[in-house]
Amino acid sequence: MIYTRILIGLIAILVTIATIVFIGINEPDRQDEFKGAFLGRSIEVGAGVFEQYCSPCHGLKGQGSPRAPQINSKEFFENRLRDLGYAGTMEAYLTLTIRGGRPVKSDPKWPQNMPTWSVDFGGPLRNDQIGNVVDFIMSWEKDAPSVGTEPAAITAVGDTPEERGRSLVEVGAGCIACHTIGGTGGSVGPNLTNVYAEKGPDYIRESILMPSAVIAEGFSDGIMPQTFGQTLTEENINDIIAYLKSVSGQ
Amino acid sequence: MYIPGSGFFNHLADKGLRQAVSDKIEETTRAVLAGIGVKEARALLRGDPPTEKPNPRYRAQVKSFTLHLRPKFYQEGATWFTHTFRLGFLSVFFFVVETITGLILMVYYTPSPDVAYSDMINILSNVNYGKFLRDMHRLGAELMVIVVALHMVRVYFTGSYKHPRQFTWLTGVVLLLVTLFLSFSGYLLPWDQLALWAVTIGTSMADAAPLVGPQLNLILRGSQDISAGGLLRFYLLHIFLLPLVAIIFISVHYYKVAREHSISLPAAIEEGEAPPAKVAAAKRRIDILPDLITSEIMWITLTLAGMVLFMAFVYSAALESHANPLKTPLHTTAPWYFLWLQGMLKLGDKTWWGVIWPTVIFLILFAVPYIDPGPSRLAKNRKAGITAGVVVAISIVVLTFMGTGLWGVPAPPAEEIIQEFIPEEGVGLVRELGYAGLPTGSALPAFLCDRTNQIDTEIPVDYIPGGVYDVSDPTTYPGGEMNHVLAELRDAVDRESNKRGNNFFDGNLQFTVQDWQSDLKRVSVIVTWLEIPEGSTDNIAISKCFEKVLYFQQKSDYDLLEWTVGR
Repeated sequence: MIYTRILIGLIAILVTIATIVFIGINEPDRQDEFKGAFLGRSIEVGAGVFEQYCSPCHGLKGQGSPRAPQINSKEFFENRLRDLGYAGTMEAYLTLTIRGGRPVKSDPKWPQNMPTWSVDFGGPLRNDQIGNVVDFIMSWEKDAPSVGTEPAAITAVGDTPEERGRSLVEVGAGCIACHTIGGTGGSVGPNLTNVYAEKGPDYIRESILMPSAVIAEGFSDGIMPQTFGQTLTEENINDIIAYLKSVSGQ
Repeated sequence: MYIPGSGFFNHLADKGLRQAVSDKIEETTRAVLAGIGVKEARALLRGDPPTEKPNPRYRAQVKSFTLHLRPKFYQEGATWFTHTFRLGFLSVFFFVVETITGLILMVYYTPSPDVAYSDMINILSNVNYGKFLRDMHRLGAELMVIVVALHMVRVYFTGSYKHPRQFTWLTGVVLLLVTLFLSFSGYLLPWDQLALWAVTIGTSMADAAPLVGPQLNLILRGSQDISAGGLLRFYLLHIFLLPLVAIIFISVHYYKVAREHSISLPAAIEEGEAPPAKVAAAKRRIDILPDLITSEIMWITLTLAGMVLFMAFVYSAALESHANPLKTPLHTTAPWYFLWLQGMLKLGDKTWWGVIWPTVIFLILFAVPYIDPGPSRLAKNRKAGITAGVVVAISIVVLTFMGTGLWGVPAPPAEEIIQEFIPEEGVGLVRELGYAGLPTGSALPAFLCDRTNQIDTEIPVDYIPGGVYDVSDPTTYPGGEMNHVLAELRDAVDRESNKRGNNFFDGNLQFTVQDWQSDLKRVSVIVTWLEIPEGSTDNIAISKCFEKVLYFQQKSDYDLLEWTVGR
């Protein structure tokens, strides 16, 4: 009886050791596989966060817009750190900029500063989400196109004023990056869903052209870009007002 | 002059090399094995009778600290496998496994929401044997809950809680609670979605307690919602307070067994129902040295080998995405061993079903030996007790089923379909296709779903450069494994369309795959349907849509942390 037990015990120990050795031999490969998978998942999550929070200004694929520079470019990955005289890595630079925003504009032509995105600085994103976005942006590096960083012109798409206005609000001028209109959008500026019903068209026109004329309660001056007067045409502004009228009171 | 160690050389001169060496070995062996010499140790391992008088095996139990914790012998009937199934022993075994693996994992873990999840990723992708240790810890925890619960069931049905073991039973119920809470508190530590929401649901029950509920919830969570404070509290519960309570109660529990009343004999033996020969055999002494020790070591090695094999080839502890306090996953459930509680909650009032009833159940459980003081342990004399036990066991199984997402409040049909194929967490049929299994095809007409869940008709027909698949139209199917998934999606949409009472008519689904950048594809799944708006009087259906966007990276193998059975 005792012999049998000792024999079974010995076999079991040998099986355990053999399995542990087997796992150990496979450890380097397994670790590589996991690293790749976790980076892949991080890029997937980062792409989703980028689409939701970053693309309204930087473009769906980082190609830039009238509001923010192109970041998906060879020049950005190769020269940016040198131009700034920044000693850290690209990942560190991206993390820092996304988390804390930019206190000054790198080029006065951009209508606004990069906002602070990290919850640590009053933004909407957790730091792990910012890590995902950094992984996503870094995944552009190897195929980044070699083009300049000139912003594209603001364009309106659609047949009716409301449709054109909506395309301006959502894509062209990108109002929803900061303002909530009709259920979605940012919270940097006031909710504009009912602004037409409450304040009327002249107020909207004035606020686009002279953002500092009236500051909504609870918000501070100097955040809304002052440049829409130059980038938007009269027709663009009328279209935006038409769209705001159509969503107002819904 | 005395030179340390010179004694051996003096003996060398007196007795010669051979004798001096063997004396030294004998002396050392006796010192290490608490008085058991070489000859006796060999006899032990061969199962021979003791070689000296008085029996040196009993002397060892007086001299050795570890052995003195153990009883000198059990009666043979108490060691029959079908009587105990070794469940109490295995409970302690898993507790030791958890302690050892837990201590090593603590080296790599920081209880802070900022880094806890990245520590998990680090353990899984950079620490040698990191996944092995984590799997072992998780598997050990799940098995410990099972084994402890089964141990209680066994003790209940064999009537072993009766005199003189009432207090032992009581400490056992404490240990069951401690085991449940040890496992539950560990749930939160990886700080993934599973952790956050399972524990949120669990602690929200505390909130329903009469009078002290909100305070209790606050003490547990550290703030209104689980965050840094809550994580630290659960960590300290998990690594310090609960193990401490467990060690104290295991000691009391085992002391009772080892010194006072031993393991119960089968009732038929104890009450003389079995044939006399069998009774005599069952009452034979089984000494701890060597019979029990070798048996226990065999069980340890066998369980360990089983666990290690299971982990190497089958088991992977799940790790979901990073905890997101703003997003409750669809069909969140409590850990499986608390599903019965979640099932009870669905019966009605939170305070009544979630707090008062469970408290009453555990109070009754504590008091079982005092409620049922009948002296006989035989099943035939305990018909009421056995019936109550079976009823409770069946109720727990039914309530557990009710606690799962299968029996609950359904989400809108479109979200249910998406959840079925692309679950928030885990794999699902679409992720199983993987990056390579998602053909992008060529530019095809597609529609978009806007933010108000209306189909956007203004988008040019060639808007989407990628594969666009309409599940209701098999001619758009790209072939391969994808066809199978699209057909399943079509069946799911048809199923929901044909269901009555869900306000989901004429459903369809558009599946779009785009090459987003190298190694990354963007998938958009849009469910469209007709529904009658709430409060509508003319019953005119309007068209609605629901979109889910997800990205696929080439290497993000979601199967890695799934159980690999049938893969």
